[in-house]
Amino acid sequence: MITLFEIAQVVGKVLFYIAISSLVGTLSICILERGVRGYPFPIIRQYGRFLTLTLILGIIGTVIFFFAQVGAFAESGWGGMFDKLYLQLIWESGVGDASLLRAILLFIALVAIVLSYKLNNSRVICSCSTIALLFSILGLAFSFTLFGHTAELSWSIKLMLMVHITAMAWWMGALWPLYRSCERLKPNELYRLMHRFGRSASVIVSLLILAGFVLFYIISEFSMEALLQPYGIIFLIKLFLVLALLLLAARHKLSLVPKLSGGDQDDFIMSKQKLRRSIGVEMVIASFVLVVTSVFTTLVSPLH
Amino acid sequence: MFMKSTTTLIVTITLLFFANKLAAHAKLISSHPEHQSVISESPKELSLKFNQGVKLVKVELKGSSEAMKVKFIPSLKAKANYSIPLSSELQEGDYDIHWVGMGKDGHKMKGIIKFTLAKTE
Repeated sequence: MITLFEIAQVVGKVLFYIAISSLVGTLSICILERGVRGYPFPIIRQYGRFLTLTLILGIIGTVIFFFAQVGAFAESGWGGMFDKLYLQLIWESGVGDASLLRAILLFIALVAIVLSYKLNNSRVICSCSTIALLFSILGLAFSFTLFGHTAELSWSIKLMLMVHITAMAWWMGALWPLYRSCERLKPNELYRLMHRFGRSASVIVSLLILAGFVLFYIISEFSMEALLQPYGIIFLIKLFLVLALLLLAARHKLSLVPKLSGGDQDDFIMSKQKLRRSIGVEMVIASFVLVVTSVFTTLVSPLH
Repeated sequence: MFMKSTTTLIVTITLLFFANKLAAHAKLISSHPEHQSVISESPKELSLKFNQGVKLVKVELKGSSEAMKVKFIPSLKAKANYSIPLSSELQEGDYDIHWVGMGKDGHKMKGIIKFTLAKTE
């Protein structure tokens, strides 16, 4: 029987995933776009409002996750979320450390975004903000190693989890800025951006999938039996969704993106619309991946 | 060249990470009374033994009709062995020990140990 506290933990995690994904993905696309359009620094401020919203959601998600953990341990209704003993238990655990680190780093990222959004064209502020955002991303990825299945494993497994998380955030979080780029960019700019993104994706997505398989193998102590447990079944559902994303990504790289260059204006508009729609479908599937990942890491556990 | 270096990187990382030992989760390995056991004397204490340190935060003893009092103090320090004294002698019947703990990885652990007390004359 799934409790309301467990559902709250899943919701809290999804909100946090959205925050870290939007941060990593948007920053990456801004850096790629900078190269394409020749700007002197990452144009993060054009996504100011979007990132402000997602980072605030991430902070709310972190708070929800922390108190839902307290309530789940106390097992005494809503009042249990504020039970002194259980608050201390969670606060002193890896969950407490991770929640504090996440709240601080999301706040730092929020300040950096708001500053670059408000202080238009300030090169110093934009450079400092970019450094602060990279520092936050590193810390946020590290926070995943403080609790959960990998908390007791070696540094190399923790590093692999950080790679997996950052690569996941890069891919999922890039979709919204790419969707927006289809509306904003000129034909040759959009083609070059998508081309550069596709080239980076072939390396980053390979690392993401490899790290995911190794982590599953190690955590579940892989066997065919493990795949028949709820933990394995949810892993297979996630795998199926990721496969669907890969097929869409392959369609973009091999069919839709090449059509962006070389044709006339009408061809470009038609190809751009097809690409935009396809990225939209990718975003919907990516949302399911985030929800399934949250369920996978919260509600089920390998039995051994 | 690009694909070759990517493949080399991936293979190197795979070999590095597969060299790690597998995960071991915290779990209850034994208890007194044992799960599904029938005992003939009222136990003076309940004991729980885990394979690694666990923060045990809740232990409740429930009889067929009511909850019994146990002298349990929640632990914020991880330990592998716990002994919980009983404040009174148990009557014959079926009992459940409900326990809740936190493993080192922060995961919630919980379980029920069922036993029957059937005193012999």
